[in-house]
This record gives sequence, C-alpha cells and structure tokens, in this order.
Amino acid sequence: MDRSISDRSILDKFCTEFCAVVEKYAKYIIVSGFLAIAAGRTRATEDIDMILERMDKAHFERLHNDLVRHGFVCMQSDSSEVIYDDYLTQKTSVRYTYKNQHVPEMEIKFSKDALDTLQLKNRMKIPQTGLDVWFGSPEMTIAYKEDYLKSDKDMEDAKHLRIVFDVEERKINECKKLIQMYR
Amino acid sequence: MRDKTHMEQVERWAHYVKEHPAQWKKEHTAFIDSVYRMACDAIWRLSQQPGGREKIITLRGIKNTKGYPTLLGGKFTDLKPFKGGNGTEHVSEQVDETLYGD
Repeated sequence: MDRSISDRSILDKFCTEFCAVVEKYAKYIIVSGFLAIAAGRTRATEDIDMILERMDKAHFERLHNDLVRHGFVCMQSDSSEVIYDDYLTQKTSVRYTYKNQHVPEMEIKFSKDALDTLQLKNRMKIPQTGLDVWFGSPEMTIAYKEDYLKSDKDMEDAKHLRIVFDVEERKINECKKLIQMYR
Repeated sequence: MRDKTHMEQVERWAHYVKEHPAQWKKEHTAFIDSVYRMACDAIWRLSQQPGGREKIITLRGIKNTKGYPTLLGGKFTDLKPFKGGNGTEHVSEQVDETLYGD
C-alpha cells in the first residue's frame, strides 16, 4: 500500500531512517509494540524494539559510526566498544535516539537464542504498515503478547493484530510452543 | 485491570483500520504526532526548571549526556523546532521563563 510521505508519523520516520542505516550492515527485525502501532493501533510508545543479528566488534563499529553520521546518538555511550562489550554482548539492550531528542528511541539487542534466530530467518515486510522495514511475524508477536507479556497493553495489542491481520490460529499456537521452549 | 469498554474501543478501531485501509493512517499519524509533541514540550518545560535537567537524565536513563548537549546543557533558544512526521516544524509555545527561575 503506497502512502505519501505526509502520512508518516514521527515514529514511522524515525524507524524508517534508522532501519535504512542498519539494513546496510546486518539482518534485523522490528518486534513487539511498534508492529501493532504501525498496523494502526492508537497508542504511542517511547521505544521501538529491534533484534539485530550478532556481529563482531569491528562490524558493529562500522554500523555505529554510520548511525552517528546519520544523526543518531546512543543513550548509553558514544563508544562503540563500550556499547558492544558492556551491553550488547552482555545481553543488555542499548537505545539510540536522534541527537538532542530524548524520544523516540530504538532499543537494540543482539539475537540471543534459537527463537530470535528463527524470527530473523522468517522476517517479513508487511504492506499494511506502509513501511519499508523488516518485521517479526504478526503471529509471533500475538503469541508473545498473549502468553509471555500479558499486560493490559499487550493483550490489547494482540487483539488489534488479530483483527487487522488474517492470522492463522495454528501458527500462533506453534509460536506459543516455541516461546514456552525458549523463554 | 481496565474495564471492558476499553477493549471494546480497541476492537472498534481495529475493525475501522481493517475496513478503511486508505483512511485510518491520516488520523493515526495526527494522534501519534500530537503525543510526541506534547511529550517534547513537557520535557522542554522540565529542562527549564531548577534541577530539571538532572530529572530528565534520571527519567530517561541517559548515560551519554554529551549526546544531548542542547537538551541537557543549553538554552531553549538552542533547541531545534520539533519536526513532525510530515516535515512541518513544530515550535513550542513561548513560556515565561521567569516562572521557572534560573
């Protein structure tokens, strides 16, 4: 579905610009709440969650430097070495924003297990969102929110996704089994 | 736990999105952008209060304070107007700075 640039929200613009840089260096997926928002859910969020395939330190340094060149800043540190050694490889996320703006944030973490790897392998672009970025599947997002996160907000996100997308219950149940195995 | 009318509204809107693929986005963008503008304005007002910048650092968990020189260390006049998703500039309403002290 083609949409004009003027239809893009602040979140859309931020996400698209950030992902365009990351795309050059690694596989990634956008997961969780932003999928629901990009699919029309009327709520805001401070952060967009990204799972990034693991990479070596030198490669991450190139990615980080390119993000900085494009006007992004990491809230945790300017040093790619600190971000890599003290956060990402310790299974801790880091957050990037536009320089001098505290929101929105892109919260990045490295893929940490077979479930993340599977999601990266099965990543998809979702025309209904109008965004040229890679997402995790709606089925996995629904499963995660209904069976793992379970807050009111997450249950509402899941309900929204169930209505907007033609999801298969069988696939959602398969995802729930995987989540029970790995999380 | 939210009452059931909240979930009913979520369902009504989701059906609207599904049934009006060409219409929902404009309303949605206006809503999202307005939330961000309000948040940015509120943070700016906080930054003008005594101890406000320290509160922002704590609230946001900012460790790399050098990355936010105008938000955390400058004056309002240093801040760039907030840009909305449609590229239009949003300028915060001028606030009487004497309300916030130094």
